[in-house]
Amino acid sequence: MINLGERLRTARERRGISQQAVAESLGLPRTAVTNMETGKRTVSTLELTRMAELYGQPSTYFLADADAVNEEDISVVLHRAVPEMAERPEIDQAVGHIVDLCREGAALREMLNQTTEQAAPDYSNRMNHVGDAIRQGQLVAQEERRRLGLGNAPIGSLADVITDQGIWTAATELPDSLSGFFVNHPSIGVAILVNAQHWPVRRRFSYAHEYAHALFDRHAPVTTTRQENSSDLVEKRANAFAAAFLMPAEGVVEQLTQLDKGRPSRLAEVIFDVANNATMETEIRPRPGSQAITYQDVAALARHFGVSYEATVWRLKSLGHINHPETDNLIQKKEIGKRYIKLLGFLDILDEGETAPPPEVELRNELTRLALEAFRQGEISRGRIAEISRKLTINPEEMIELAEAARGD
Amino acid sequence: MSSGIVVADTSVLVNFLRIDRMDLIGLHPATFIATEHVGTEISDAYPDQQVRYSAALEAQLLSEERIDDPTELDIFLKLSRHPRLGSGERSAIAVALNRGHVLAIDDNRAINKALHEAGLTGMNLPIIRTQDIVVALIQTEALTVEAADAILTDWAGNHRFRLKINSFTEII
Repeated sequence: MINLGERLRTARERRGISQQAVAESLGLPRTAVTNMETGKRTVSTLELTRMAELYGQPSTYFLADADAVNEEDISVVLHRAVPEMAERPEIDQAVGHIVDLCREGAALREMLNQTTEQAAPDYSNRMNHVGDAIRQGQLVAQEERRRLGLGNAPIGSLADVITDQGIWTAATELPDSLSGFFVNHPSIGVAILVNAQHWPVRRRFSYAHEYAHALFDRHAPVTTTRQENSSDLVEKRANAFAAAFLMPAEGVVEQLTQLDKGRPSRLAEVIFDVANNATMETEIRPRPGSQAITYQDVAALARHFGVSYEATVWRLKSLGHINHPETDNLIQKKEIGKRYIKLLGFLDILDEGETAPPPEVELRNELTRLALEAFRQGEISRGRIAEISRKLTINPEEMIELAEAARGD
Repeated sequence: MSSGIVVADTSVLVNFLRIDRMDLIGLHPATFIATEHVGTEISDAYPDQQVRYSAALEAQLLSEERIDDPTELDIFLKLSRHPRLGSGERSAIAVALNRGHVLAIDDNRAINKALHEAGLTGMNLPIIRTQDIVVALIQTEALTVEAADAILTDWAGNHRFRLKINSFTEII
């Protein structure tokens, strides 16, 4: 059996933290840390709790019988998938914090007997070529919209929709090249993290993309979305899903109709003539050029579906509403399109500015809700409420008062 | 209640800190101790009370202990497996259980479940609440009923801490 000192050393080394750094964090001399790791000095409950936080481990990792657990530690899984975490402490810390919140949420769900992680169906399927990837992505997007009762309407808060499926969602600091990642681990369940440095319009696409991984690829512990793996079939499938999920084909047609765009240049109409008991054929020709989809239409569609100008152009192309030259033309006009978007004040679908707006609050809200409910049902204590509130950067006194009020109902 | 040692949780201490009456803890027939974790919780969750808590320690109205006994560490960790309790509560329970002391805590609804899950149900854990502490102070004449009722009113009116009695005469 591994003793406490060895566990402390293993956990520290796994996170690449020096004894000196631990000592400074705990306000102890370095020799105290050395002695704790060699069993020459006792470890207090407070020191153990602080070291567990520092190493991104639950306190129970240090229990004598913890080696009976077979699963690979989530921090090891994440460090392998996102090697930048080892080089950039701020990313390591930010991701670690989100994982900790997810772990708290998973424990609360268990106490409340809420097992919602299976709400989203498993659509895993084999793919042989790009065609399979795109078709699967589009079909499942359509099916998910149907299952979730979304119709053809734009999706408000995508993070909210995904959270309702029992999947944790959060925007956090990630390497620039990483749009987001999906993680499925027994300690937290299923979670989607997207890059908080990206603007909301891009984060929406990333949420949809990572949701596709949750639907298709949940058997892999982690799936990362990077520029360098964008040609992988699983990534193409996830992109096809995201575009179709955010901009459903029929919804696009409805919007184009509202804009009086997208009709064919010639439309044959047949009318039944009751007087002569015969049919009368006629041809409707829209005014030449009137059906051309312009940058203004793209902007209107982008605004409607809450996606970027470029994503809208590519979706129109994939649905066959515009041909290759028209696509090129609209892409070339993206700057003018964005100026138009700015002029109309649709700033939420632009991905520019000095600082990206704050991350989505779904994880924080869900955890707060679960904590208050668990307290109300007598599953967790006051002290636990205070601890969770500190992790959520909510005033503990305020949270305890809200919790007591919930229990009084 | 008889003299002895009481391990106090944050929930109880903060009631006396808020009304600046830690002297009552010192007047209680039992000796009060708090764990380091509880001290940290007070400074983290109730920073306004930190000065009063430090003054109480300095005046030896209670003492604060570093908890490093291996048995207590083991109980603390076992209680962490199902995170129902805060670390201050877990450390206070570990000390009370291991040393046979009384635990002073106001919220004990989650404790029984936590003890059961940790396989600690066979151990004796006497619990007292803030209300019991005041009653003991009245019984030992360290506090009059009138003064206790004034505190009751102060807690309810100014500190959002309500007992299910209107006067201590109801339970003395």
